[in-house]
Amino acid sequence: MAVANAVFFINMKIKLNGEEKDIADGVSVAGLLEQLQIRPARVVVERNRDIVSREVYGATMLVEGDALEIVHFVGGG
Amino acid sequence: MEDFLEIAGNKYRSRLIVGTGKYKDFAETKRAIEVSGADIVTVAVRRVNITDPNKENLLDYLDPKKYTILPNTAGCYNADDAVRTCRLAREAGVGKLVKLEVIGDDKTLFPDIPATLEAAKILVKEGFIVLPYINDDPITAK
Repeated sequence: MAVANAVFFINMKIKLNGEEKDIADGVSVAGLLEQLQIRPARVVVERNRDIVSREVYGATMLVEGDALEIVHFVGGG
Repeated sequence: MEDFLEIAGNKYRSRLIVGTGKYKDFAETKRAIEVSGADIVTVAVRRVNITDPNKENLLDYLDPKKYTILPNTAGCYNADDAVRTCRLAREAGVGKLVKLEVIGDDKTLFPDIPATLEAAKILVKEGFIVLPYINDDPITAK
């Protein structure tokens, strides 16, 4: 089913944490986090070097060539 | 008289600031920090591992209401990266206190003082409370 669906979406390339990734066109930051199964409350997202505040994750649509960084706190230091 | 450590108007019962690296797992980290009695806990900011199925998060183990979370810029080698890291940390909602470190040498992990100073100036202007990692240098520390 997933394979058949993919035919109808236009894919675009973004850079996610330094690696190129193909994602479906028309995906928001919130949508991407959901796909990746990342809880929004625990991460911070930077898009093209600007921080995307949590309130606008749903309204922020990704476009071809976007560079995203998704970070969180880890042990260290 | 009660003894406390005061940083930028906030009082801390313990003078100990503990790290969160090198532990076996988050449960061990949590237990060690509880036993330490520290109020301030420093944490690093890193990219989320997109493909890692383990979705546990350090903040599930360290309650930011119980501890003051002190994000650090460990692993930053220039002022720009350090400033970016601090801005990301602030967005995570743990306050304005940051441990600024700009590493100048991979082997010794000694700080790059001019870069640290450059980053500190920007961060202070943006309202951060900066705890810099520097040598014992009272002139720069001013």
